[in-house]
Amino acid sequence: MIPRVILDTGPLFDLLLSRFWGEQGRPIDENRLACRKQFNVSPEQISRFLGLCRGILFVPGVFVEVGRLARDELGRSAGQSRGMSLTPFWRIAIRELQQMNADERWARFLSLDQTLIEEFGPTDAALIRCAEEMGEERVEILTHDEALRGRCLRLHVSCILTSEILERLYR
Amino acid sequence: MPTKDNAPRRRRKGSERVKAWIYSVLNPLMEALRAENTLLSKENITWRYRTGEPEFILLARNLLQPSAQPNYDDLLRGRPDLKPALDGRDEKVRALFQAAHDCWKHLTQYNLLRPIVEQRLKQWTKEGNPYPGRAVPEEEFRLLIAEHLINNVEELPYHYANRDFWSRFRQNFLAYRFAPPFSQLEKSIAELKKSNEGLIGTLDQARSHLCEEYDIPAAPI
Repeated sequence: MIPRVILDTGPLFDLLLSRFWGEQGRPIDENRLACRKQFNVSPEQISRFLGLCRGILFVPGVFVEVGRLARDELGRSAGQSRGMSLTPFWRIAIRELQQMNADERWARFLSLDQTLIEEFGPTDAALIRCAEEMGEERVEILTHDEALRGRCLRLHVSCILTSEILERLYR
Repeated sequence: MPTKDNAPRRRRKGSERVKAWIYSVLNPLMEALRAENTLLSKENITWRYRTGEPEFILLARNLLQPSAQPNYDDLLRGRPDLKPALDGRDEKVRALFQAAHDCWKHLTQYNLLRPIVEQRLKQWTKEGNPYPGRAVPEEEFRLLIAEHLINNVEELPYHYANRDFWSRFRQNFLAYRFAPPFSQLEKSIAELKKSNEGLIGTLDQARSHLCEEYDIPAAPI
């Protein structure tokens, strides 16, 4: 078993989008997913990694970002930039989250590190805060974002890139 | 674009309307029917215990985005010859809904599943495993298991907290599919699948004719 993990927007969105297509019986074009394009990791490998984790932590900002990505991606695939209903996407997303070992962590915006917000935005600042609050447990952030990972390393916050899950799965 | 005799080329009347039929109705509908058949070939009817109905097996009009539904209605006015095929397929959907309701009633009304789920859950937790339902309240867990059963789920995704529980006891639960209402469900699934295949053919043919007649591409360029 792997310790708990804090999930960033990228891997969460790829997982939810692949589930969204799969649940409807539609073919999944993995080349549209960042995990495949950036790291040659499949959404199934993300799913397997998360299945090995003791728990999955979320900060609310990732859901806002997932919503934006879903609107762009699903609008594009339906050939329309606006007006595409996200109802089925959220219905599936909520069901997925309910069936994971998921837990949410909140942090007040004004209590977050201002420098981090300025540099990375509120979601990443909240992810870092969440990891710091886990203290000794050394919970890792799982992200597609190399800049965030670099910053975490400098701050001595545990963080892994999506490509690194392969090592954990197959070592 | 000017033509040979230098007169401006005029679009055939109705071509915009036909484009709307093809791009917002026929193409998405054929795609949705193919996806539906992928699910049906696994006997997955996408039943949801919280709503008490299938999520993605829908009447033809509801397979489309709400914004495209007026174009569906217009297609049926402009091409009434397509109506029997669409209505025939929707009849099969209604029959499947009825069969699914009967199976659900069979599983839940007489609490058939409750003792076996409770027994397995007790065994599971006694062995030191955490409650597999996570955010699903314990009193609803048997309904979640019934949902997997009615959808003929073979394997759950790796990140699901109830994956291991389901994998271990799946055969015990799936045995309930031998009950008589499930034979009717299987028959309805097969009939809907066949009807979808026929409808895809009909719609494909209609699209070809429209493309030819109005000189428009089958998909936007």
